[in-house]
Amino acid sequence: MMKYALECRGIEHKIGKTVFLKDINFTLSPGQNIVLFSESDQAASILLQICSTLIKPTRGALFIEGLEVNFNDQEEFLKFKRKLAFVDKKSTLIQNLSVLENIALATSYHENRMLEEIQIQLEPIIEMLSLKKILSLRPAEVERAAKSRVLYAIEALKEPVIAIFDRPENDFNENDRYYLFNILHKLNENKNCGFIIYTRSRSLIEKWADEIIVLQDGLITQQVDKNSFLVSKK
Amino acid sequence: MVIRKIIVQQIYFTAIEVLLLLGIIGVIFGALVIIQILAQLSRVGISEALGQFLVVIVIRELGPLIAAVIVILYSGTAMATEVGYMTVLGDIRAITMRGIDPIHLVAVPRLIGTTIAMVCLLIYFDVVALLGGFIVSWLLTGIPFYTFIMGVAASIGASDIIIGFIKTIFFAAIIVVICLYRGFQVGGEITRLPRAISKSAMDCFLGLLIIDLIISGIFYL
Repeated sequence: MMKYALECRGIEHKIGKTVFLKDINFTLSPGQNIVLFSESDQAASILLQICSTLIKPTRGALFIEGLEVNFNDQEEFLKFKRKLAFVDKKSTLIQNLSVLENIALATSYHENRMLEEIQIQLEPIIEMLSLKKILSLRPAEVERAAKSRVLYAIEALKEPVIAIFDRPENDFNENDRYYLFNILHKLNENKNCGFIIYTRSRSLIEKWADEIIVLQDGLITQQVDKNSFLVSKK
Repeated sequence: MVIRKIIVQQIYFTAIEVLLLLGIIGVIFGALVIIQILAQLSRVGISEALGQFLVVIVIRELGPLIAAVIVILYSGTAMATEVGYMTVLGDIRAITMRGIDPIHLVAVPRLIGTTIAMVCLLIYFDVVALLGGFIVSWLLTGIPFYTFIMGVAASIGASDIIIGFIKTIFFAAIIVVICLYRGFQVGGEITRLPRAISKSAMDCFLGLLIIDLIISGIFYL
Protein backbone atom coordinates (compact mmCIF):
# COMPACT_ATOMS: atom_id res chain seq x y z
CA MET A 1 0.00 0.00 0.00
CA MET A 2 1.26 3.47 -0.88
CA LYS A 3 2.36 5.58 2.06
CA TYR A 4 1.12 9.15 1.72
CA ALA A 5 3.32 12.02 2.88
CA LEU A 6 0.23 13.47 4.53
CA GLU A 7 -3.37 12.47 4.90
CA CYS A 8 -6.28 14.40 6.37
CA ARG A 9 -9.13 12.13 7.38
CA GLY A 10 -12.47 13.68 8.34
CA ILE A 11 -10.89 16.86 9.70
CA GLU A 12 -13.30 19.28 11.32
CA HIS A 13 -12.47 22.46 13.19
CA LYS A 14 -14.58 24.81 15.26
CA ILE A 15 -13.63 27.90 17.22
CA GLY A 16 -16.45 28.62 19.63
CA LYS A 17 -19.57 28.05 17.60
CA THR A 18 -18.00 28.98 14.27
CA VAL A 19 -17.22 26.01 12.05
CA PHE A 20 -14.17 26.68 9.88
CA LEU A 21 -13.57 23.23 8.43
CA LYS A 22 -16.04 20.42 7.72
CA ASP A 23 -15.11 16.87 6.86
CA ILE A 24 -11.83 17.60 5.10
CA ASN A 25 -10.38 14.57 3.38
CA PHE A 26 -7.37 14.67 1.11
CA THR A 27 -3.99 13.06 0.63
CA LEU A 28 -0.60 14.39 -0.37
CA SER A 29 1.69 11.93 -2.10
CA PRO A 30 5.46 12.17 -1.86
CA GLY A 31 6.66 14.72 -4.42
CA GLN A 32 3.15 16.02 -5.15
CA ASN A 33 2.47 19.78 -5.30
CA ILE A 34 -0.97 20.77 -4.04
CA VAL A 35 -2.19 24.34 -4.16
CA LEU A 36 -4.97 25.35 -1.83
CA PHE A 37 -7.41 27.92 -3.13
CA SER A 38 -9.85 29.49 -0.70
CA GLU A 39 -11.94 32.61 -0.41
CA SER A 40 -11.51 32.55 3.35
CA ASP A 41 -7.95 33.24 4.49
CA GLN A 42 -8.83 32.06 7.97
CA ALA A 43 -10.19 28.65 6.93
CA ALA A 44 -7.16 28.03 4.70
CA SER A 45 -4.80 29.19 7.40
CA ILE A 46 -6.41 26.88 9.99
CA LEU A 47 -6.19 23.92 7.62
CA LEU A 48 -2.50 24.60 7.01
CA GLN A 49 -1.85 24.92 10.74
CA ILE A 50 -3.58 21.60 11.34
CA CYS A 51 -1.51 19.98 8.57
CA SER A 52 1.63 21.39 10.16
CA THR A 53 0.54 19.97 13.57
CA LEU A 54 0.30 23.42 15.16
CA ILE A 55 -3.42 23.14 15.86
CA LYS A 56 -5.25 20.05 17.03
CA PRO A 57 -8.42 19.60 14.95
CA THR A 58 -11.74 19.43 16.78
CA ARG A 59 -12.43 16.14 15.03
CA GLY A 60 -10.67 13.86 12.57
CA ALA A 61 -7.19 12.46 12.19
CA LEU A 62 -3.97 13.59 10.59
CA PHE A 63 -1.44 11.10 9.26
CA ILE A 64 2.16 11.88 8.36
CA GLU A 65 3.99 9.18 6.42
CA GLY A 66 1.26 6.75 7.40
CA LEU A 67 1.46 7.41 11.14
CA GLU A 68 -1.36 9.13 12.98
CA VAL A 69 -0.23 12.30 14.73
CA ASN A 70 -0.82 12.08 18.45
CA PHE A 71 -1.15 15.70 19.51
CA ASN A 72 -0.78 14.72 23.18
CA ASP A 73 2.55 12.92 22.91
CA GLN A 74 5.07 15.76 23.05
CA GLU A 75 8.10 13.72 22.01
CA GLU A 76 6.46 12.09 19.01
CA PHE A 77 4.85 15.38 18.13
CA LEU A 78 8.21 17.16 18.01
CA LYS A 79 9.58 14.40 15.76
CA PHE A 80 6.79 15.13 13.24
CA LYS A 81 7.67 18.80 13.30
CA ARG A 82 11.20 18.00 12.16
CA LYS A 83 9.77 16.51 8.97
CA LEU A 84 7.73 19.61 8.19
CA ALA A 85 8.68 22.91 6.62
CA PHE A 86 6.12 25.54 7.47
CA VAL A 87 5.95 29.28 6.95
CA ASP A 88 2.89 31.42 7.55
CA LYS A 89 2.27 35.05 8.47
CA LYS A 90 2.83 34.30 12.15
CA SER A 91 6.21 32.64 11.57
CA THR A 92 9.00 34.52 13.22
CA LEU A 93 12.66 34.37 14.13
CA ILE A 94 13.84 33.92 17.70
CA GLN A 95 14.50 37.47 18.83
CA ASN A 96 17.48 37.00 21.12
CA LEU A 97 19.47 34.95 18.64
CA SER A 98 21.41 36.30 15.67
CA VAL A 99 20.33 35.43 12.13
CA LEU A 100 23.10 32.82 11.88
CA GLU A 101 22.13 31.29 15.24
CA ASN A 102 18.51 31.19 14.09
CA ILE A 103 19.49 29.35 10.92
CA ALA A 104 21.82 26.96 12.71
CA LEU A 105 19.71 26.32 15.81
CA ALA A 106 17.85 23.18 14.75
CA THR A 107 20.93 21.49 13.23
CA SER A 108 23.09 22.45 16.19
CA TYR A 109 20.50 21.27 18.69
CA HIS A 110 19.51 17.98 17.09
CA GLU A 111 23.01 16.98 16.01
CA ASN A 112 24.71 18.46 19.09
CA ARG A 113 27.28 20.33 17.00
CA MET A 114 29.02 23.65 17.44
CA LEU A 115 28.14 26.62 15.26
CA GLU A 116 31.60 26.67 13.64
CA GLU A 117 31.20 23.05 12.53
CA ILE A 118 27.84 23.68 10.89
CA GLN A 119 28.70 26.93 9.14
CA ILE A 120 30.22 25.22 6.07
CA GLN A 121 27.10 23.09 5.71
CA LEU A 122 24.95 26.26 5.78
CA GLU A 123 26.94 28.17 3.18
CA PRO A 124 25.05 27.07 0.02
CA ILE A 125 21.68 28.19 1.41
CA ILE A 126 23.16 31.40 2.81
CA GLU A 127 24.62 32.12 -0.62
CA MET A 128 21.39 31.20 -2.43
CA LEU A 129 19.30 33.60 -0.37
CA SER A 130 21.90 36.40 -0.12
CA LEU A 131 22.04 36.28 3.67
CA LYS A 132 25.78 36.71 4.18
CA LYS A 133 25.65 40.40 5.14
CA ILE A 134 22.99 39.97 7.81
CA LEU A 135 24.25 36.84 9.56
CA SER A 136 25.49 38.63 12.66
CA LEU A 137 22.42 40.86 13.02
CA ARG A 138 19.53 40.36 15.41
CA PRO A 139 16.06 39.85 13.86
CA ALA A 140 15.00 43.33 15.00
CA GLU A 141 17.79 44.83 12.89
CA VAL A 142 16.78 42.99 9.71
CA GLU A 143 14.27 44.29 7.17
CA ARG A 144 11.08 42.31 6.53
CA ALA A 145 12.03 40.90 3.12
CA ALA A 146 15.35 39.57 4.43
CA LYS A 147 13.60 38.14 7.49
CA SER A 148 11.33 36.14 5.17
CA ARG A 149 14.36 34.75 3.35
CA VAL A 150 15.84 33.66 6.69
CA LEU A 151 12.58 31.92 7.62
CA TYR A 152 12.57 29.99 4.35
CA ALA A 153 16.27 29.12 4.75
CA ILE A 154 15.54 27.61 8.17
CA GLU A 155 12.74 25.49 6.76
CA ALA A 156 14.74 24.38 3.71
CA LEU A 157 17.55 23.12 5.95
CA LYS A 158 15.19 20.66 7.60
CA GLU A 159 15.13 18.58 4.41
CA PRO A 160 11.43 18.02 5.04
CA VAL A 161 9.05 15.45 3.64
CA ILE A 162 6.23 18.02 3.60
CA ALA A 163 6.51 21.74 2.90
CA ILE A 164 3.53 23.93 3.80
CA PHE A 165 3.46 27.62 2.91
CA ASP A 166 0.71 30.15 3.60
CA ARG A 167 0.53 32.89 0.92
CA PRO A 168 4.28 32.82 0.18
CA GLU A 169 3.81 35.52 -2.46
CA ASN A 170 3.28 37.98 0.42
CA ASP A 171 6.68 37.16 1.89
CA PHE A 172 8.57 38.17 -1.24
CA ASN A 173 8.12 41.34 -3.24
CA GLU A 174 8.17 41.24 -7.06
CA ASN A 175 11.95 41.71 -7.23
CA ASP A 176 12.61 39.00 -4.67
CA ARG A 177 10.16 36.45 -6.06
CA TYR A 178 12.98 34.44 -7.65
CA TYR A 179 14.24 33.64 -4.13
CA LEU A 180 10.96 31.84 -3.47
CA PHE A 181 11.36 29.70 -6.57
CA ASN A 182 14.99 29.00 -5.62
CA ILE A 183 13.77 27.71 -2.27
CA LEU A 184 10.99 25.66 -3.80
CA HIS A 185 13.49 24.08 -6.21
CA LYS A 186 15.92 23.46 -3.38
CA LEU A 187 13.18 21.67 -1.40
CA ASN A 188 12.23 19.80 -4.57
CA GLU A 189 15.75 18.36 -4.82
CA ASN A 190 14.40 15.87 -2.37
CA LYS A 191 12.04 14.16 -4.78
CA ASN A 192 9.92 12.90 -1.90
CA CYS A 193 9.00 16.33 -0.55
CA GLY A 194 5.31 17.08 -1.02
CA PHE A 195 4.03 20.67 -1.06
CA ILE A 196 0.83 22.27 0.18
CA ILE A 197 0.76 25.93 -0.75
CA TYR A 198 -2.07 28.33 -0.10
CA THR A 199 -1.77 31.05 -2.69
CA ARG A 200 -3.69 33.43 -4.89
CA SER A 201 -0.75 34.01 -7.17
CA ARG A 202 -1.54 32.83 -10.68
CA SER A 203 2.14 32.60 -11.59
CA LEU A 204 2.82 30.37 -8.60
CA ILE A 205 -0.08 28.13 -9.52
CA GLU A 206 1.10 27.97 -13.15
CA LYS A 207 4.66 27.18 -12.20
CA TRP A 208 4.17 24.94 -9.24
CA ALA A 209 0.80 23.22 -8.85
CA ASP A 210 0.01 19.62 -9.78
CA GLU A 211 -3.40 19.67 -8.19
CA ILE A 212 -5.70 22.39 -6.85
CA ILE A 213 -7.94 21.96 -3.82
CA VAL A 214 -10.72 24.52 -3.65
CA LEU A 215 -12.00 25.25 -0.16
CA GLN A 216 -15.38 26.92 0.14
CA ASP A 217 -17.48 27.41 3.27
CA GLY A 218 -15.19 25.04 5.12
CA LEU A 219 -15.65 22.22 2.63
CA ILE A 220 -13.50 20.92 -0.20
CA THR A 221 -15.70 21.70 -3.20
CA GLN A 222 -13.26 20.87 -5.99
CA GLN A 223 -10.10 18.86 -6.39
CA VAL A 224 -8.86 19.39 -9.92
CA ASP A 225 -5.66 19.44 -11.97
CA LYS A 226 -3.90 22.71 -12.68
CA ASN A 227 -5.05 23.14 -16.28
CA SER A 228 -8.76 22.64 -15.57
CA PHE A 229 -8.50 25.11 -12.70
CA LEU A 230 -6.70 27.79 -14.73
CA VAL A 231 -9.20 27.45 -17.57
CA SER A 232 -12.09 27.87 -15.13
CA LYS A 233 -10.48 31.00 -13.63
CA LYS A 234 -9.76 32.75 -16.94
CA MET B 1 25.78 25.74 21.49
CA VAL B 2 22.71 27.85 22.21
CA ILE B 3 22.02 26.13 25.53
CA ARG B 4 25.53 26.92 26.74
CA LYS B 5 25.12 30.52 25.62
CA ILE B 6 21.83 30.86 27.52
CA ILE B 7 23.40 29.37 30.68
CA VAL B 8 26.28 31.87 30.51
CA GLN B 9 23.88 34.76 29.85
CA GLN B 10 21.73 33.67 32.78
CA ILE B 11 24.71 33.47 35.14
CA TYR B 12 25.91 36.88 33.97
CA PHE B 13 22.49 38.45 34.33
CA THR B 14 21.63 36.82 37.66
CA ALA B 15 25.00 37.02 39.39
CA ILE B 16 27.45 39.46 37.81
CA GLU B 17 25.04 42.33 37.18
CA VAL B 18 23.76 42.34 40.79
CA LEU B 19 27.15 42.06 42.49
CA LEU B 20 27.45 45.73 43.42
CA LEU B 21 23.85 46.03 44.59
CA LEU B 22 24.00 42.80 46.57
CA GLY B 23 27.35 43.83 48.04
CA ILE B 24 25.91 47.09 49.35
CA ILE B 25 22.82 45.31 50.68
CA GLY B 26 25.01 42.65 52.33
CA VAL B 27 27.24 45.19 54.10
CA ILE B 28 24.25 47.21 55.31
CA PHE B 29 22.42 44.07 56.39
CA GLY B 30 25.41 42.73 58.34
CA ALA B 31 25.83 46.15 59.96
CA LEU B 32 22.15 46.35 60.93
CA VAL B 33 22.20 42.91 62.47
CA ILE B 34 25.27 43.81 64.54
CA ILE B 35 23.73 47.11 65.69
CA GLN B 36 20.65 45.27 66.91
CA ILE B 37 22.69 42.53 68.56
CA LEU B 38 24.96 45.05 70.27
CA ALA B 39 21.98 46.98 71.57
CA GLN B 40 20.77 43.81 73.29
CA LEU B 41 24.10 42.23 74.26
CA SER B 42 25.70 45.31 75.79
CA ARG B 43 23.13 45.00 78.54
CA VAL B 44 24.32 41.53 79.46
CA GLY B 45 27.96 42.09 78.51
CA ILE B 46 28.71 39.22 76.16
CA SER B 47 29.78 41.10 73.04
CA GLU B 48 32.31 38.31 72.28
CA ALA B 49 29.36 36.33 70.95
CA LEU B 50 28.81 38.77 68.09
CA GLY B 51 30.18 36.41 65.46
CA GLN B 52 27.99 33.58 66.72
CA PHE B 53 24.84 35.63 66.38
CA LEU B 54 25.84 36.85 62.97
CA VAL B 55 26.36 33.27 61.80
CA VAL B 56 22.97 32.19 63.13
CA ILE B 57 21.10 35.11 61.62
CA VAL B 58 22.95 35.71 58.36
CA ILE B 59 24.47 32.40 57.27
CA ARG B 60 21.83 30.03 58.56
CA GLU B 61 18.67 31.96 57.94
CA LEU B 62 18.53 35.32 56.25
CA GLY B 63 21.51 35.16 53.87
CA PRO B 64 19.98 32.63 51.47
CA LEU B 65 16.58 34.32 51.79
CA ILE B 66 17.81 37.84 51.04
CA ALA B 67 20.00 36.67 48.15
CA ALA B 68 16.95 34.84 46.75
CA VAL B 69 14.71 37.90 47.14
CA ILE B 70 17.23 39.99 45.21
CA VAL B 71 17.27 37.34 42.48
CA ILE B 72 13.45 37.36 42.32
CA LEU B 73 13.34 41.14 42.02
CA TYR B 74 16.16 41.43 39.52
CA SER B 75 16.26 38.20 37.55
CA GLY B 76 13.05 36.25 38.25
CA THR B 77 10.68 38.96 37.09
CA ALA B 78 12.93 39.57 34.08
CA MET B 79 12.74 35.85 33.26
CA ALA B 80 8.91 35.88 33.47
CA THR B 81 8.85 38.98 31.24
CA GLU B 82 11.26 37.49 28.71
CA VAL B 83 9.35 34.21 28.41
CA GLY B 84 6.04 36.10 28.32
CA TYR B 85 7.35 38.15 25.41
CA MET B 86 8.65 34.98 23.75
CA THR B 87 5.12 33.59 23.71
CA VAL B 88 3.70 36.92 22.48
CA LEU B 89 6.28 37.39 19.73
CA GLY B 90 6.03 33.79 18.52
CA ASP B 91 9.51 32.67 19.65
CA ILE B 92 8.08 29.65 21.47
CA ARG B 93 6.14 28.67 18.36
CA ALA B 94 9.32 29.09 16.29
CA ILE B 95 11.24 26.84 18.70
CA THR B 96 8.51 24.17 18.58
CA MET B 97 8.41 24.32 14.77
CA ARG B 98 12.10 23.41 14.73
CA GLY B 99 11.19 20.22 16.57
CA ILE B 100 12.76 21.49 19.79
CA ASP B 101 11.08 21.13 23.16
CA PRO B 102 10.79 24.69 24.54
CA ILE B 103 11.17 23.34 28.07
CA HIS B 104 14.57 21.96 27.14
CA LEU B 105 15.75 25.05 25.31
CA VAL B 106 14.18 27.77 27.46
CA ALA B 107 13.77 26.32 30.94
CA VAL B 108 16.69 23.95 31.51
CA PRO B 109 19.53 26.43 30.77
CA ARG B 110 17.83 29.08 32.90
CA LEU B 111 17.49 26.61 35.77
CA ILE B 112 21.16 25.61 35.54
CA GLY B 113 22.33 29.22 35.15
CA THR B 114 20.19 30.55 37.98
CA THR B 115 21.25 27.76 40.36
CA ILE B 116 24.97 28.33 39.70
CA ALA B 117 24.50 32.09 40.00
CA MET B 118 22.55 31.86 43.25
CA VAL B 119 25.09 29.57 44.93
CA CYS B 120 27.83 32.09 44.02
CA LEU B 121 25.66 34.99 45.21
CA LEU B 122 25.02 33.26 48.52
CA ILE B 123 28.74 32.86 49.22
CA TYR B 124 29.33 36.48 48.20
CA PHE B 125 26.44 37.78 50.28
CA ASP B 126 27.55 35.88 53.41
CA VAL B 127 31.09 37.22 53.05
CA VAL B 128 30.07 40.86 52.60
CA ALA B 129 27.47 40.65 55.37
CA LEU B 130 30.12 39.32 57.74
CA LEU B 131 32.42 42.11 56.58
CA GLY B 132 29.73 44.73 57.22
CA GLY B 133 29.10 43.17 60.61
CA PHE B 134 32.78 43.29 61.47
CA ILE B 135 33.16 46.95 60.41
CA VAL B 136 30.31 48.04 62.67
CA SER B 137 31.49 45.81 65.53
CA TRP B 138 34.99 47.23 65.25
CA LEU B 139 33.73 50.83 65.11
CA LEU B 140 31.44 50.41 68.12
CA THR B 141 33.36 47.96 70.33
CA GLY B 142 36.90 47.96 68.95
CA ILE B 143 36.79 44.17 68.61
CA PRO B 144 39.90 42.95 66.72
CA PHE B 145 39.40 41.22 63.38
CA TYR B 146 41.03 38.04 64.69
CA THR B 147 38.65 37.78 67.66
CA PHE B 148 35.64 38.48 65.47
CA ILE B 149 36.59 35.94 62.83
CA MET B 150 37.44 33.32 65.50
CA GLY B 151 33.95 33.86 66.94
CA VAL B 152 32.47 33.30 63.49
CA ALA B 153 34.65 30.25 62.84
CA ALA B 154 33.76 28.71 66.20
CA SER B 155 30.05 29.10 65.54
CA ILE B 156 29.91 27.99 61.95
CA GLY B 157 29.66 24.30 61.16
CA ALA B 158 29.87 22.48 57.83
CA SER B 159 26.17 21.75 58.21
CA ASP B 160 25.36 25.50 58.22
CA ILE B 161 27.11 25.91 54.89
CA ILE B 162 25.57 22.77 53.39
CA ILE B 163 22.08 23.75 54.55
CA GLY B 164 22.61 27.21 53.04
CA PHE B 165 23.48 25.58 49.71
CA ILE B 166 20.52 23.18 49.93
CA LYS B 167 18.17 26.10 50.57
CA THR B 168 19.69 28.05 47.70
CA ILE B 169 19.31 25.18 45.23
CA PHE B 170 15.64 24.77 46.18
CA PHE B 171 15.13 28.53 46.03
CA ALA B 172 16.65 28.65 42.53
CA ALA B 173 14.40 25.81 41.39
CA ILE B 174 11.24 27.40 42.78
CA ILE B 175 12.10 30.83 41.31
CA VAL B 176 12.79 29.44 37.83
CA VAL B 177 9.77 27.12 37.82
CA ILE B 178 7.33 29.80 38.99
CA CYS B 179 8.69 32.57 36.77
CA LEU B 180 8.77 30.39 33.66
CA TYR B 181 5.32 28.98 34.39
CA ARG B 182 3.91 32.49 34.72
CA GLY B 183 5.77 33.56 31.57
CA PHE B 184 4.46 30.63 29.52
CA GLN B 185 0.96 31.32 30.84
CA VAL B 186 0.94 34.66 28.99
CA GLY B 187 0.21 32.48 25.96
CA GLY B 188 0.45 35.15 23.31
CA GLU B 189 -1.76 37.76 24.98
CA ILE B 190 0.33 40.78 25.84
CA THR B 191 -2.28 42.17 28.25
CA ARG B 192 -1.60 39.19 30.54
CA LEU B 193 2.06 40.10 30.84
CA PRO B 194 2.01 42.71 33.67
CA ARG B 195 -0.15 40.45 35.82
CA ALA B 196 2.13 37.48 35.12
CA ILE B 197 5.15 39.48 36.28
CA SER B 198 3.61 40.66 39.55
CA LYS B 199 2.15 37.21 40.23
CA SER B 200 5.50 35.56 39.60
CA ALA B 201 7.18 37.83 42.18
CA MET B 202 4.53 37.23 44.83
CA ASP B 203 4.35 33.46 44.22
CA CYS B 204 8.14 33.18 44.36
CA PHE B 205 8.29 35.03 47.67
CA LEU B 206 5.65 32.78 49.17
CA GLY B 207 7.44 29.73 47.77
CA LEU B 208 10.73 30.85 49.32
CA LEU B 209 9.20 31.25 52.77
CA ILE B 210 7.53 27.84 52.60
CA ILE B 211 10.75 26.11 51.47
CA ASP B 212 12.77 28.00 54.07
CA LEU B 213 10.34 26.98 56.79
CA ILE B 214 10.43 23.32 55.73
CA ILE B 215 14.23 23.10 55.43
CA SER B 216 14.89 25.03 58.65
CA GLY B 217 12.31 22.89 60.41
CA ILE B 218 13.93 19.66 59.17
CA PHE B 219 17.51 20.61 60.00
CA TYR B 220 17.29 22.85 63.05
CA LEU B 221 14.40 21.52 65.11
